[in-house]
Amino acid sequence: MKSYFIETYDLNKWYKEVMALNKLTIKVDRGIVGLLGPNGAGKSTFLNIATAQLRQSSGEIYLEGQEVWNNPGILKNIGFCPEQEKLFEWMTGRKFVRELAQISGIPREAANQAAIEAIELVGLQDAMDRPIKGYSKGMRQRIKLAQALVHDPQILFLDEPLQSTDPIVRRELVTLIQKLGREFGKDILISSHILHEVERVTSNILLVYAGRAIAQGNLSVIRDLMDKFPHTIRIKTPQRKELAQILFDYDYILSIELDHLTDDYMSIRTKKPDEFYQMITKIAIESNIAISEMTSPDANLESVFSYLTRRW
Amino acid sequence: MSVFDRSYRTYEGELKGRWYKIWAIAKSTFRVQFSGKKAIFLMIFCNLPVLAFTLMLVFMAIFLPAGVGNLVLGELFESLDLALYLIIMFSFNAGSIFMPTVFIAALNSGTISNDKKHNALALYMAKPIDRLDYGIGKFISVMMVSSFVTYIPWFMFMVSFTLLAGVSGAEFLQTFWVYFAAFGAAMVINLFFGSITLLFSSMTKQSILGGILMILIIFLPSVILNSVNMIFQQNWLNYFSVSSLIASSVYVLFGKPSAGSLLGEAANFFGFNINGWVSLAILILISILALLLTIRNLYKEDISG
Repeated sequence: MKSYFIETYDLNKWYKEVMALNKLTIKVDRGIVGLLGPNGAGKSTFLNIATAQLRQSSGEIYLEGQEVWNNPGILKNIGFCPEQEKLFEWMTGRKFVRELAQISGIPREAANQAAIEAIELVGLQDAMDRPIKGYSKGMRQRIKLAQALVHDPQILFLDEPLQSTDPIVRRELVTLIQKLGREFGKDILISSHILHEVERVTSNILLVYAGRAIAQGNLSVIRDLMDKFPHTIRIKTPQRKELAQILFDYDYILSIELDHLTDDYMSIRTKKPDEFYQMITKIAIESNIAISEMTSPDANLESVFSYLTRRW
Repeated sequence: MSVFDRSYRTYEGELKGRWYKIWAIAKSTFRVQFSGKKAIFLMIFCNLPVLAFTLMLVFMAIFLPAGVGNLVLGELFESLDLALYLIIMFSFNAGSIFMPTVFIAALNSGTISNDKKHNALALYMAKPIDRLDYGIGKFISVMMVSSFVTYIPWFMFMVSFTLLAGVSGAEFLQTFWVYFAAFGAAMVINLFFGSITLLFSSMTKQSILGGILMILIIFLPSVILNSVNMIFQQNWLNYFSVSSLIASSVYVLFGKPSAGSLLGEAANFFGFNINGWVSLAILILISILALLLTIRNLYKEDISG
């Protein structure tokens, strides 16, 4: 078995004159991988190509080493949870999953049981005999997940699965996705434009922007990459002007910005964050400057993402 | 509500093959398309000619003395092929072709367009099927729905006729071919209507628009050409009329009805002077072309838009 489940080489997709994917070349490691990018970055296009709903304009894409387009054999191994919320509204949840189970090839007599198992897995058994039109957004996400799981695929593509869910459902779905990846050994590509959602599920991410892969790997690797570039640190202190005067003497401080909306916040950009963190403690003690809060937005995936995408 | 209340038992059985999945698509689509009071009402309304004939048979069998009944049945309906041929003509002549067209368009125009509208194609296409499988499944569903204005009511009539008209065993064997001829005629009509409906359904996300286009394409030429032909009397113009194409194709499939009888004379009312085999070929060719275009539409469909 290969160590990666998706490979693409110079993958391009045009919608007339709009380029949705631009020479996307990636190899996606097994396990849970987050596909991150802003709206319009090409995430959904990529998932649609990976699940054989769209054909690439040029380039190659392989799932488990096999071509995807018009290859039902490989589609047996995948489950897809699409982004859209409109489903077969008139059907009950169980019937919906059962019918899609049969289209996956599960025999009629086994399809009902497989549907119930999948629905129980996503915790929707109490509502499975109600029509989908009465489902909340969170329930719709779960029933979509159930239909993706019903034929026990090895690979799962989840397009914005945590969107529109309340915090409790979100936590349960995160637990579920982690369990599917870690205990059931499924390879999962989960797309989102909300970075902290994916951060909860996995630290292995793939960043796409303007149809290109701009970074891939463990979050810490991406942070190492990021450390080569300016880093922002936000400090709360009532003596921000005094602190600013001191910091200007250091050549690795690139800029200092005082927050206009509050009286005690300031943002500092530095190209050597490690040295800054060592130095700021010393300054605080020696100059008697009270620092009540120090956060680095860059520690959050959001800033990694916005930082890296800004460079393109 | 918590997850993992019970242990998850993954499905470990064998997955069925291609035709099982196609049949699953067809069944699922049929259940969606042929449901509700609208479908039942339309079905009854479109089958009024065959229902009227069948009820007439039933009442004759019940209320007329056996000898008189047989005489009337023999004189009026004459033979199974002629009676059924007339029923088909009553349903598909230039004036009445509107109703079966509306039935087929109304119940089938959403077959693909509704999937596109609700992005359900994303759910289908991520399953282990290809677009051809999807198209075949949808086509089978359309054929099944269309049968409710073709073979199913015809079969009902044929059975009623056989049981009520005092048909002997030998006569039944002699007319048994009609069941197959009717099946052939139904297949041609279903194929034609179904493929055109499927094509329009694959071209738009608006099922109503697809249905209206389909009705206009089929019904208007028949009406206009029949009107034009009353003035110009040009037989070849009938090749542009769907009702004439169907009538002459069915005529070929059934053979020439006996002209000497009462109904035989009536059958000639639906007379046409175009070649039946050519009509049949035109209908089949148009159907094949429509199906190929439908498949082409499915393969070029960009689901995410």
